[in-house]
Amino acid sequence: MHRIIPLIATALLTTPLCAAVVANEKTAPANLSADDVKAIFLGAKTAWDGGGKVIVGVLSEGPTQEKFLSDQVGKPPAAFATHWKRLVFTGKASMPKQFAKDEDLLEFVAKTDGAIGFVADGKTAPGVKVIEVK
Amino acid sequence: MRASMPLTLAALAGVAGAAELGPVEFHGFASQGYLYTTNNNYLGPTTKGGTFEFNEFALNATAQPHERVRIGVQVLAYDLVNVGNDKVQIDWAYGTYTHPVAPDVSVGLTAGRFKTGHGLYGDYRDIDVARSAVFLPMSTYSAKFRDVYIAVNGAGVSLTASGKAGTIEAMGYVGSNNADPDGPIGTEFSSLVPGYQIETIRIKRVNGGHLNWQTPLDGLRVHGSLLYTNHLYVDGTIPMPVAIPGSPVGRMAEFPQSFDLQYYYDGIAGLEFQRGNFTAATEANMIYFKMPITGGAFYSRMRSAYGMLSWRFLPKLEAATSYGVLLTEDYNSRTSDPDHRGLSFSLRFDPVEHWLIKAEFQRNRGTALLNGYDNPSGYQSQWWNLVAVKTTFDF
Repeated sequence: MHRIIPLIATALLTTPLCAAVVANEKTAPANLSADDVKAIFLGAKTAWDGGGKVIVGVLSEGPTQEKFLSDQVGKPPAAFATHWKRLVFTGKASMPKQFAKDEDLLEFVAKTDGAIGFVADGKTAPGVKVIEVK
Repeated sequence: MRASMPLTLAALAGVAGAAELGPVEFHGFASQGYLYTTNNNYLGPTTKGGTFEFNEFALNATAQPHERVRIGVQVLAYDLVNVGNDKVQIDWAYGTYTHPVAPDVSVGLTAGRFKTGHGLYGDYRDIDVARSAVFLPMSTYSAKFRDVYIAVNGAGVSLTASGKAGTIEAMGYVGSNNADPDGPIGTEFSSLVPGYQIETIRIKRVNGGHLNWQTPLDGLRVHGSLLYTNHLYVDGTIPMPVAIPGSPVGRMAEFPQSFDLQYYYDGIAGLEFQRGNFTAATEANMIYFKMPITGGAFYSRMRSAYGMLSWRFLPKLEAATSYGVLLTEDYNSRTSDPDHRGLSFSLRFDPVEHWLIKAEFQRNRGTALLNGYDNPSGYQSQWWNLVAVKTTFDF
């Protein structure tokens, strides 16, 4: 038993957390398709269907970022960064806002119309809604 | 146009944050490298001690004043041995309007100076942070014709559609272009005639289009593009001796000399597959051009292909390799002209975000990418190596 508990604790601490898509509650829909989420985080979808600009925020590093990019976008962090630099240096997109902590990203999403991002599952803040990804 | 660029950027910065424009973003990069070749010079003196004339600098400003409108400008200066020479130029300056016409379908209009999207990686020739290796495969992305592909001054119409068959992004454009007399095209024509001073290079018409298909197979992209230029005019003067009547001594005078690359076709098709930290790509292209000369015309055909692999094997380290072939042919006589075969190995290290270091080794055979002007004593060997080290900071 003494060996099992540390092993479980280690597994819990090192397993990447699930990520949740969050958006500004005023402008974003309640749910998005997986294709739309991918298009948003690859800069291909830049306007909400109901109107307004899509403003993308991302975590700059960490297990939540790696998990989200792998599951939803299909790119590891380095390839994701290269993809956006290609868009920015050819004038096709604005660089996503980057945040080191979930709390900072949530604050940004809450106060920015049209903002969308991803955080560790279970985290939220006033002014932010969790988007169901279909 | 070049002199007004700083004023334009200052004006853009001056209205940053204004309600009409929205936030203005600024980004840029600075790349500096070292280049060395064995046996033969590449684009200038690169064999004796190598050269540090190898850099790119860029600064851009972009804004999205409306959800369907983007506008921006990027100025760029580059130096690749004897071409570019760090002249500040407008890399792109354009606006785009995008309009949804159906669920998951939108059309767009682009006007100004914009990238042509020719080839999988043509838009990233000057953007070191956008690729794994120091150089794109030189067999297909030769520096010699960079100015033809790099951008177009004109207008384009685009279509983007997503569905069960993946996502298609297509664009067609018309326009013109000007090339820098100190750029690679100017250097190439300067080598044709000793003492030729090029004053202007104008491309009267550039037409083309590209199609990118993100297939339903995750990570697989298919690309095809065509580019056609009509009348690439090179105008300059050649100094020639003239006699002075009644005098035994002559003098030098400048005589106008023009070339007209009447038409130039380039078609390219490629595949890119990216899965996790692994990327594989291959492209094949064909170029065909005609240039009238005294007594007839010169036709040439060039065909190239390459395969490229890259693998980020550690979070901060990426390795890449490519093999490319370029075959050139005098279309009149159907004889082979100089060709090129090149194998490259490169390593990219990203110690921290916004800074990278790369190193590359190439083993090349053939002189198709070389220039007699840079090798006045003749080519030392068909085999030549290239070593490059480069670092880039971006923001």
